[in-house]
Formats: sequence, structure tokens, C-alpha cells
Amino acid sequence: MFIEKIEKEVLLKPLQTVIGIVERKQPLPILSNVLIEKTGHLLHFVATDLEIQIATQINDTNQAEPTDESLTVAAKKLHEILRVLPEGSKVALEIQENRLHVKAGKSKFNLQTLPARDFPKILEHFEQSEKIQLKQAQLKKLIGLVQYAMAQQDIRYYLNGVLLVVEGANLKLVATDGHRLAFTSAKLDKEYPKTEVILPRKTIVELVKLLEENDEEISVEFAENRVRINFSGITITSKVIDGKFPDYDRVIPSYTNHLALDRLVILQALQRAAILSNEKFRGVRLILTEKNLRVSSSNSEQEEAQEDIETDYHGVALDIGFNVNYLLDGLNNTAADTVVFSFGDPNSSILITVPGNDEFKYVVMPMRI
Amino acid sequence: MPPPDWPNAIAHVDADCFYASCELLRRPDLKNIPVCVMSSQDACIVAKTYDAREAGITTGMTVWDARKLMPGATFLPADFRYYGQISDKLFSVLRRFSPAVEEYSIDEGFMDMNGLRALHRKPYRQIADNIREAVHQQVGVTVSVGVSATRTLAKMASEYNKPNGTTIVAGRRILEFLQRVSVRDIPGIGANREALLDKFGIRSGADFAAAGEHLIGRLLGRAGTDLWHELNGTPVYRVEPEAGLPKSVARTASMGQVTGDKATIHAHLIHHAMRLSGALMEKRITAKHLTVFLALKSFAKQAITSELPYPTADYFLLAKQAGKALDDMFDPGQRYRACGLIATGIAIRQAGNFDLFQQAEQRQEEKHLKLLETLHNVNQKFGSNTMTVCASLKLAGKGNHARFNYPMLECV
Repeated sequence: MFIEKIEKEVLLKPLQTVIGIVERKQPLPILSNVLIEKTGHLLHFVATDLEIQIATQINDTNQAEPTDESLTVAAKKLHEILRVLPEGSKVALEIQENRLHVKAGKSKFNLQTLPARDFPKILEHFEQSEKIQLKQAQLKKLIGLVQYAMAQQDIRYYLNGVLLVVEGANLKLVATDGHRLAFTSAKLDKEYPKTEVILPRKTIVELVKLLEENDEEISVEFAENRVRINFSGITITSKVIDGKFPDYDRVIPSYTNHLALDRLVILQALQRAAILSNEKFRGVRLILTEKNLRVSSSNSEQEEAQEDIETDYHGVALDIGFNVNYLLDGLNNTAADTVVFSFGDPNSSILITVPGNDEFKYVVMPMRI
Repeated sequence: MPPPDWPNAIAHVDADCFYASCELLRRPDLKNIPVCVMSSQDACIVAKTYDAREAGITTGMTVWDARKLMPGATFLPADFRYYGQISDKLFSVLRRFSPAVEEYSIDEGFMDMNGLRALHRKPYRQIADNIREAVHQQVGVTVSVGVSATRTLAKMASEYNKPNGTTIVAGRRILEFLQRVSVRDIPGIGANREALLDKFGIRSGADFAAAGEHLIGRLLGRAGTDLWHELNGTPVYRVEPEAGLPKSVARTASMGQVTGDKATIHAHLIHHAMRLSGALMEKRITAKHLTVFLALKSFAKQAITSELPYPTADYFLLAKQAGKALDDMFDPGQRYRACGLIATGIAIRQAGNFDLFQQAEQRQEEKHLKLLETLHNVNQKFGSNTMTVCASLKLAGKGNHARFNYPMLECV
């Protein structure tokens, strides 16, 4: 017996953990499968798309006489079957003549399998690797602060991910699509040798899904062209993007004109203005004068929106345009009450920061409206 | 499980030897006589009837060679304006069958056929036959129609049974169809790719579809995997009914002489760069790649394609790139007769959408574009070449002005 009796919820959890990277259309049929390896009472689950691999395990203590067996089976199908079984169902799995029989109450399913030895595991061997440690919630927060700025299928392939830099006792994360750039940094527990890797978009997306808001340790190991991330019994092994990330320091400006704003006030004003902005170009205008910030937009049907925000600004006037989505992204993903817009001329980028915190920087290029 | 028959239906309508057919329309006296249409400069063949093709005349062949092959054929100068009018008529007929028609080129188009069976109460084969009949009756030229699940399959299908044929490739017939065609019949697979695929045992369309996506990706990159999905019946390219962006914009011409003088060729290229920049600016589009080509006295062609630092319409960048390519290609021992520039990777000009990493360059480009706009306005008001760049002045000599201002129709 592969699995004698297990609650469907117990079996479902590890499947859900690894299934995110299994794509519907696969060049190799076995990549649609999940590898389940049983060693004694331990059940290992592994899925891969050849770029990323996610592995996790559970304990199956119901086993009277544990054997070592393994198989691969269609991940989505097994997941779907378990998902729709009645709550609290007990499930038994049995391998017979290369087929997997799933039994639960009066339901029976018979699935085809592929041999476990054909499953293309990413090399998990990490020699002389560097390893950093931090808290899960901390990494989740850092990724959340930058991931929305990643490029998507850009021909500058090195922008389709998040740059992760370890420098001394600092961890920096940077993402950009060429029109905006998000930067964040945090202190690590000690000094580490300098490392720079670009984590692919898909890995970041999986991390955002799987990381939890807790104080458990997470370790990130760097090897030649891969990283391995370990947390809560989950191991993500990912290739890194082989490319040179642009010099982000060079495009983070320092300006002398600053405008402090209540984050929710400006966020909501922009959300309202966004409704009547051009659907394609998403432009909004910010017109800054003494003590007033006017947010306005118009679309191709000549519809217009306008809103005034009172400020305590004294300084040069400014009339500048932005893609409203870029501004909303930055404002939506910080939790601060107050944000500071720093700016130069209407053709230069704008820098959004949080007062008293130089660990977050968001740079947005303007657009001409 | 066999694939469903019509998860998606796209028709490709391709006119049969379009230019030659157009000529026959207004010259019924030429019926049953082989007809070749020459490029405006009467230098090479751009279209021919099927009987002329059988005699071995190919597109791009010099008129001289063609005349030797088929002295009895009629050689006519091209009249692209007239062909454009016939093309408009052709597409208006297609739009009566489906509102979603994409004008892919002057003589071929894609149609989104999804749901049309219910509208016309007919299976796809009959709709396709009706399209052919309607075009024949109302426009006067014949077309071949292919219907399948993806653009690529539809295009291959229309090619399969030419002229005046209908080919329907339903989902469960894709494999059978692909077994009968070679990889060379797949649009986008040329001699080089064919040779490469051959080395991996991929010879028929079916071999290509059955090969792993990974292998195809490794051999041909993204374009290859897109084709792979298309051949396996998964649409990657949609029908885009809105007047799409041109795939390329070209400014090319014979130099009016055969010359080994680099400065003269350079002057011609500069002149083309100016015109190309003007054309891109006028359409508010930018180019990502620039191909510079030279035609030798023997008509053999050389070309260098390079990536521009960023999508642009800036004359100064185009001219610089053209100059560099000329330096790389020019052979003092050769004599050249034609040259030109072809811009590809066309995109809509993202007005004022600045890039973080190219701020300085983009600012400079803005300045250049302002200057160029003024220059084009002056020329529009007072006649072309009232004001131009010094580097192209070498052309100003007698009879040396560029005469042919049409965009090149075929970039082989």
C-alpha cells in the first residue's frame, strides 16, 4: 500500500504548495506530474518546470509497515480529485501495474503514472554556497514592496525578475520595468560576502504565495546559477536570470523639492482620477502650486476629472504627467501614513519615499500628456 | 484524446499571382499569354502568371534572365496604385463574410471565422467556397482559401491548394495535413532554418509539431516555439482586424548607376535614412531594428541587420547605423548598383513615455525630432530637398536624384 489511510486535507496541503508551478501546457508530459517519494513515514512532494522546483514533505504516521516507493502522477488531476472529495474523507493510494488507484469511501479513481526515475529534478547539490538567514515575514514584506515593478516578458529579459543584493549586513531588493523602479533594503543579522542574483518573475510570484507572516527562519542559499530557499518545510530551488541588471543607483535621484502627502488622500484622489484617464496611456496630470496639488485627467471622449488637495507646499510650481497605474502601484504597496514626493523638472523622474525610512524608494518616470 | 475540431477557426485568403491577375483584368487580350509584372524600374520580376512560373521564372529574377527563359511572355511595368484599388475591392468582399478581417498585405488577409457557421448556416468548407466565388465574380481575381485552427495552419492550408482552391484543416486532421508538407512550407522557416532542423531529423511539418517544444525553442528561439504551438493547433497569433502596424518600412532604390565609390553609396544611404526617418515620424511609429542592404552589380545582395539602441525614428541614429553597416560591408573591389534601408520591429511611438535607463538619450532624441520636423515642414512647403543634410548632397548631380519613392514591397 502506497498510502493506507490519510485525511484528504493532509494530502491536499503539500500538493497545493507545489502545484503553482505546474503549467497546463508542458513540453514534457512528466512536467505535468508531481513526484511523490515515500521513504519510511515521510512523503516528499516535488514539482518542477525545469526553471523552478518546489519540494515539501509530510509525515504519514498511519503506515503500519512503511516501504520505500515513489511515482509521478498528473498533479492537477490528483489535486482536483482531492479537492472535490467530501470534507474529512479518508483517502487510500495504491500502485498497481503502473497505475495509481485512489480510493475514498465509495469513490474510486484510477490514474496513469510515469516512472519516478524519469522525473527531471533540479540538482539540489549546493557546494560551497553562501547562505543568508532572515525571518519569513521580513522577506515577504520586502518582496511585497518591490515585486509589482518587475517587467513582464520584456525583451530586456534581466528586468523580468527581482534583483537581490547582499552587501555587508544589508539585503537589497530592486525591481524595474524601465518606467518605474522600486527599491527596498533591510538589515541582516550579520555581514555576508557580496552576492547579486536576479530571481525570475515566476519564483517571486510563488514566494509571494507561499511565504507566511510569521517569525520562522528562512534561508536563502546562492550557488553558481541557482538559489535555494528553505522555509516551513518547503524548499524552492530556482535558476537565476543570467544577465546584468541595470545600475539602479544611478537612476535613484536626490532632489531638493519635497511634497509631503497623506498616503490615503493622494491614493484615493488618483484612483478617482484614473477612472477618466485614457484607457491605453493611463495619464494623469499633477499640477503643484503654492499650498495646492491638483490631480486631473481626461480621456479621448473629452471626459474630465479634477480634484484639489490642500498641502503645505511652498516652492517651485510643477506641472507633470504620469501613468496613474505606476503611482497607484507604489502607493498601494506601502503601508505608511505619509509619503513624500520629491521632484525636479517636468521631464525628470519623481521619487516617492516614506519619511524617516530610507529603506524604501520608488522612482517613476513622467509621461508627456 | 483527439483534439477538438474547431476550438478556433481562422481563414487565410490569398490572391493567386495578384499583380499579374490585376493586369489581366484590364488587359483581357492577354488571357492565356504568360504575363510577368516588373518592378517599377523594369529591373526584376515581382509577379508572374502560373505558366510563367512553370517556365522557371521566379520572383526577384532579372527581366533579362526572364526574357531569355520565356521570350513569348508579356512584360508589364508595375502599377501599384491600381493594384491597391483592386485590393480594396477584394477586402470589402471579405468583410461581407466576417467583420473581423485583417489586411495582412496587399493580396492576402486573415479572417476570424469563429461562429460564422451559425451566421451563414453552412460548414466552413462551403463558406470558404462562397468566399472564393464571391471574390471571383465581384473582383475578377481568384483567391485560395485555407481554414484551420491557427493563423499559421490557415496560411499553410491556403498555400496547399493553389490556385483557386479551398483547403480545410480541422483539428483532427492537422497531423495528417502536416505529414504532407515539409518544414520549408511553414511560414518563417527559410533555407537556413530548414537546414538546421534537418540536422535534427525534423523534415516534415509533422516532425516539427511532434518535436519537443524545448528542442524547437533551443533551435529557433521564441519564434520557433510560437510556430510550434501554432502547428499543434494552439493559436498564438490572433487575427488583428484593426489596421495593424506595418511589419517593416523601407526606403530603397537603385543608385541610377553602378558605382564603386563609397562616398556615393554613403550619400544614397544618408538620403534613404532621411526619408525613412520622415516616414516613421509621419506615421508616429518607431523602429527597433535597421537592415542596411547593398546590391552588387551582379544583383547579389548583402545586408546587415542591427538593433537600434532604443526604438526610434531619429534620423541621426539611423544615419549613424547605416554608416557603420556600410563600413562593415563595403568592399573596394566591388561595384554596387542599389542600396537601401529597411526598418523593422515597428511600434507605436510612446510619446513622452520616458525610460529610466535612457533618459539622456531620449532627451537628445526629442531635440533631434523637433529639428527634423521643422526640416520636413520646410520641404513640404517649398518642395522636397529644399533643405537636407549635407552628406546627401553628393546626389545632387544631374540625373542622380532618387526616383523611386514607393516602399519596397518584398524584402527577401
